[in-house]
Amino acid sequence: MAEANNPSQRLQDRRPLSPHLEIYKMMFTMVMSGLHRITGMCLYAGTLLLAWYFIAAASGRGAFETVNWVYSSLLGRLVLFGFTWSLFHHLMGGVRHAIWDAGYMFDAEGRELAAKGTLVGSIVLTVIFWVLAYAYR
Amino acid sequence: MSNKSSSLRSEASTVRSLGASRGKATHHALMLRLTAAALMPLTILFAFLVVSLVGRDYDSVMRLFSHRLGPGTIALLFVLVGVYHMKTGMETIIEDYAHGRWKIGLLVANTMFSGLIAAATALAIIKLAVGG
Repeated sequence: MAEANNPSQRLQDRRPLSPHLEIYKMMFTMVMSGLHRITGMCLYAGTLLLAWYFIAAASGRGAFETVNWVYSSLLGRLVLFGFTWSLFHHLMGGVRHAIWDAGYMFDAEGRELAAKGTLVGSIVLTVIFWVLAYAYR
Repeated sequence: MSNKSSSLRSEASTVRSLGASRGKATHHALMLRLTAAALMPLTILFAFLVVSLVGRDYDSVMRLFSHRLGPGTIALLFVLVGVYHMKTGMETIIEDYAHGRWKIGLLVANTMFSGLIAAATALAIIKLAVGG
């Protein structure tokens, strides 16, 4: 009870700590859970790309042609590809979370299946999107 | 019913809304999920809009937004609901990892960034819709 008698010790330092990521073995469902948050943060930053397109279009021909040139360059397309994959991955992750909120797929097989479905679904949606984009251009 | 006074209030009601979030957590969690549900169809619709925007020149984009209401409505809804969702989600992330002054500062920065993106993009979309 030494610490209880020591008023200089801050409450924060005595709080019990729960184990975090580094002590667990990496698992597929864990990675997919982390990716949901990471893709969400990528989309957060990606709203700047969206804002730039609409603001440039509303600003006039010159600004629009600049943004159009950047987005049709190789690097621009690569960034847009990553953005659309993040979007569809986060969308599929949201479906997985909705299923869990409804009380289903909590068992080991369900979790594994939902995680695989998220990954496969996000890739399929991204490929469909880009095939359509190139077919209609 | 161990209240010393003869109050009719349940014990739960005397502590409800006095937790760490002062009763706002349920609304926060609910709004994150409701905006997520709204974004499922909106994202698919918006993806189709983006597909139809790829490779379009300036005049064609101007015509698309000023002659038809659909594209602008989808873009506006996607941006407004999306920004609300991302602000709410980022608040969850900040509250998980940042504490004290950092938490307050990042929460304020998050609100400002989200407000700026929503206002600027919405104004641009409306400007396109009413004719450049």
